[in-house]
Amino acid sequence: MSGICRPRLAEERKQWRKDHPFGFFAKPAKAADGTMNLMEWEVGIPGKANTAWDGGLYKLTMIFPEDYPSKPPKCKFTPPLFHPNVYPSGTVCLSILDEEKSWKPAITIKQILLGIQDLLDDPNVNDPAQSEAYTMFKNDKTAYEKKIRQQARENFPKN
Amino acid sequence: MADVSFLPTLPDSDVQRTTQTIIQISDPSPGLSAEALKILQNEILEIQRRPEAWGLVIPLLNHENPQVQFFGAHTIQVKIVRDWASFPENNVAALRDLLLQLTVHALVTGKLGVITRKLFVAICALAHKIVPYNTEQWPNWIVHCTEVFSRAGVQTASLLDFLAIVSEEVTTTDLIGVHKDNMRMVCKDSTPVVLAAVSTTLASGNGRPEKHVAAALNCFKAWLPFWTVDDTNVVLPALYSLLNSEEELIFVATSDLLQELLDSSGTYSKHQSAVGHLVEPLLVWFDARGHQILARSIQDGIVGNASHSACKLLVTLGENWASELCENIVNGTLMSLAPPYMTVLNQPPKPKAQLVQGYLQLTLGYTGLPGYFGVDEETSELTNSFWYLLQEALWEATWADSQSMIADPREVSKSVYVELVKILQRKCTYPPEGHGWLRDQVDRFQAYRRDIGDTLINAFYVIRDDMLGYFIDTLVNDISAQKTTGGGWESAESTLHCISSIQEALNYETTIHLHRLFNPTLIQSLPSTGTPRLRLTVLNLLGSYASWFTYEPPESSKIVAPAGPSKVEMLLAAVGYVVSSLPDPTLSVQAALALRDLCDANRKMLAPHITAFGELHDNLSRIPDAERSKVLQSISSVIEALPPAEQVHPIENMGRPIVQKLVDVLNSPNAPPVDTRAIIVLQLETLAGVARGLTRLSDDIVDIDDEVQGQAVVRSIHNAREDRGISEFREEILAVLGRCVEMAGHDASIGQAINELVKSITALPGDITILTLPAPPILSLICRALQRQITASWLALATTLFSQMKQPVPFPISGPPTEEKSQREAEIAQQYAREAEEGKNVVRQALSMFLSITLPFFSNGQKAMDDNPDIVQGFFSLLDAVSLNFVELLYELPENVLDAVVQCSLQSMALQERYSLIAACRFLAKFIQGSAARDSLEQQRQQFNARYGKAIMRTVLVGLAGVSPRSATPNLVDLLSALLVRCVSEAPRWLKELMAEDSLGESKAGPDEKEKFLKAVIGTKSNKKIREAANQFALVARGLEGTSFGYATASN
Repeated sequence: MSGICRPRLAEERKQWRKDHPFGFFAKPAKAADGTMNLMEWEVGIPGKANTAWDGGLYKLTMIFPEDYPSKPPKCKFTPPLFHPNVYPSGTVCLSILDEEKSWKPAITIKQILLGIQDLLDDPNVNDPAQSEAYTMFKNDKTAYEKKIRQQARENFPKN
Repeated sequence: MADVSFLPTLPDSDVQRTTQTIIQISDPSPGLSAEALKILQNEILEIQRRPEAWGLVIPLLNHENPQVQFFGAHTIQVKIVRDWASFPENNVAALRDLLLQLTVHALVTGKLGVITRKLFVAICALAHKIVPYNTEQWPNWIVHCTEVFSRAGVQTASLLDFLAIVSEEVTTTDLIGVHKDNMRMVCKDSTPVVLAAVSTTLASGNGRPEKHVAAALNCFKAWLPFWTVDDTNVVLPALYSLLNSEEELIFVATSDLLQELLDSSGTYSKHQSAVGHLVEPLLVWFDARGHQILARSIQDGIVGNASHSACKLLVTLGENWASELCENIVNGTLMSLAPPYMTVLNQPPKPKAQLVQGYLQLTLGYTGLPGYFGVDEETSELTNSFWYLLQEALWEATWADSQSMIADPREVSKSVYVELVKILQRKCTYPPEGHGWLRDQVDRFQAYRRDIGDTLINAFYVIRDDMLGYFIDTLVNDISAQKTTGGGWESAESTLHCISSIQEALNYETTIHLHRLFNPTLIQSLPSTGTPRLRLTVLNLLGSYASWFTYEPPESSKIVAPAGPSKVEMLLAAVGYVVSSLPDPTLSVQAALALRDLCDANRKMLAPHITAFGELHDNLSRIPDAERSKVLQSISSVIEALPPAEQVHPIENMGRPIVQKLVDVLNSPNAPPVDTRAIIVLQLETLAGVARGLTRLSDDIVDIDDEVQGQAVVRSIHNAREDRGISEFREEILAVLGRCVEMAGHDASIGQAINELVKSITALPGDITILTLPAPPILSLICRALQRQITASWLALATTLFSQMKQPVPFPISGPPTEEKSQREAEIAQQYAREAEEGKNVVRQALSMFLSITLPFFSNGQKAMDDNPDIVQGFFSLLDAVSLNFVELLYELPENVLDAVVQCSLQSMALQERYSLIAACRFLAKFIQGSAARDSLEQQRQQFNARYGKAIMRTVLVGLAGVSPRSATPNLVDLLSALLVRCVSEAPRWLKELMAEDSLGESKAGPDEKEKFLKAVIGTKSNKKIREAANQFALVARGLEGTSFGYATASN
């Protein structure tokens, strides 16, 4: 399986550099000497316009297992995000990232990141991953939105 | 004339009515309502569905109205696709001939392209119905069609359009297996004809009408999946010739095609073949024409479509062949092109190095197009995707010394990147204030700047520390120029952005330039008023480099810090700059974040200067509310580096006003609820910031590797905690927290803020601070909150506190064994045992309270569980934490309570809701494992097993056999494993009995499979074997055995 993993990631990277959705970034992590680690990517997902997430650029690490694309990457917000479907560790709980659920080897990095962007403003109430955000989302949407807006401010991109 | 007798004949009136309807739909009169239009559309679709609709094709195609003609073409395609099953087989040949004749007629009579293309699609649809199943029924159908069209004098462009559609339809077909292969084989067999049509048209190139050439290019592109390398090579000379076309349409189409070829140039089996046919001719072409095209764009002030496309071609060449460019960057050998290319390109031979370096200069030219990206030009960003690949190729390149090398490749590549860096610094410079850009232009420019930041990192890996030196020189010059001329700060801002962008790539051990950057004189020369963009960038920069101030190079480091201000002086200057920006609402977020990073990373360096932070605290009212928490967190992180006894007063000074404000607001029942809530949340968040700042750095904790040392640290904190003032202050916090819970804990915002505060103000015994609150009163406070409203967040908080109650194992005391040491160790062990017992008592009481509140909630039936997966999860996670550390407490529960817990678990395991199910499985597995690990619990354990063991096992088996979602299988297997390994004497019996007596829900497993499963799992202690057998059993029981889906999706 590991034979497929790196060529696929190299191709994903090429396709991403060629064409990626506006406002996102995604690149393999690099060591201090400049060597590239294709198995770990640093990623930025912008909040959608006209939502409480607007203006924020949320940083995420994608960790690819050796048997990718048979198995999905682990996607982890760093620092952890206040969101009902993000575990306290920052790991995203999304069906397309779950090999037991909807993961398919054909799913591209672009599709994953767009899927996570969709999830930001459209949490899945069936997948509670973080009790704080879930409780607030469930009990008081207005307070939840306020908290999300505050979070967006603190994640304003530094460019 | 083709035979049309097989078509139904329709009365004229029907045809007329249909044409009228089509005309009405395609050009609705203003009076026609949307509903009426919809009725007409449905009517026409209904007509098309009828068998007689075949009879409409000819009359509609012959109608004078193009919309009606199109509907005629559409109808024949739809009938072939949808109603083929009912079409008489003996009329197939007649239909084929008729369709070809109608198409020829449409072509020669000059019907619109949209109609003829629809007829082409219909021909393909017909071929798809016939050829895959019987190639003889329409032998060589593609060639046959082209012959029919050619004989009828159809224009070349139309013929090529037809062939392009053929390839598109074949490659996107939903046929599978041999039928798909049959269709592809016909395409393969037809390539000589297609290639002849394409190459003839392209060879005469510029002499042909534009649309013919465009059609040939499009056709060649559509047939790419079928070309061999030799086929491609036939066409390439013509393509290079077309690159000289003045017609923009032709140039762009040719460039697009070449880009596709470059992207698929891996199909050239031999590397050298692709180099000779694609890379080298293109390098020669760019050398001859590329610079002219770029120069014209710069002269005209606009990058036209052709120039943009030339840049895309340039970048695609580099993306695919960066290593080839590297290899030849200093190769003085002349590039000799193959004869056909030499003739077409007609250029004198030049050294490879000259062509490659010319290529790089051209790419630099496009990177540095004049103007602002997203406003004046949209092309420069294309090159970003090349520079990183070139850098990586340079890293991998191994240049063998040879006579053909005319320079040092590293020097040449470095000079290219130096130039690139200068260009990028210019390109990421914002225009002066008042530019009037729209928001989307600003957004695009920001995203572009971030991409430039990435490219700068690549450049850094080539240039290294000299690049930082260059930026700092530039910055010094920018500042000096600004001071002299009074101009804008845009260039300095851009340079600072560049320095900020490469931080992640820097090695602090080897760089000497940062001392210059953070020299107080330089930092203080930057404006601290106005110029918000510049100041924002400075703040981001200071935040990103926060760890540098504390960084100490290893003793082995050969880099000597230059003489000048100390790092402390630099740090204080940086903090001073940040603090001055805090009151500005446009900068406060970034300033607070930068301050937090600086203070957190440099707490020990800043601690001796704590009094300087007093002023900051005194001016807190000037700082926007939302940032106060971060500012106080920053200050308290510095306080943490003081000896514990010295922390007391500053912490009280910071904390008391916050608590007082909370008390005041809770005592003002008449305040508007919205204001009250906002104030309470703010105070709670601010207090949480103070508590969070006091948390020790993990590095400091790791440094403690000895019990005496660890105890000494904790003891000094305990001593400081005994200070009367701070003890009272903690009591006050507890009291006010209690009031918050009582009065407003049900409010989502306040509940969340309390939650955050509790998390930051409670700690494991080893991480205790002078402010840490004891768990028992907080647990009772959570119980009060749960009584008002059961939420997952309260349960999660209780779980965290339960985990904190577990007493850690004492560190060993270092040093040789002595009597004194043994005595001390015994004392410590006693102390730990006493504290452990106290902790257990707290959990015992709290557990009893929690269960008395939560169990009735679940007794409302399955709906409560279905509707609240978060609470179910929170409930079992809490029990999980108890099982892990205090399993004996669960056996102490009254019988009816423990029974309710188990019933609740079994009920949850029967749910389809995956997360509740998993949480219940985890709890039971941990409970069973934890019980078995304690000999003292043997009797209770046996009683529990006798009462519930079999029921749990049944639920697991029924779940595995199909009731539970497959995604929960690993968790069910874990529980099965726990039962088999931990209940060795009972579990085999339960299994056998259940397999014999129970149908296990909807299981499809027969006696043999059950027996096989039993044999595999009974008696083994190997989790791996149990997992494999259980997975196999789950597949069989669900009827998935032998399916590729089953195995591909089975969890391992």
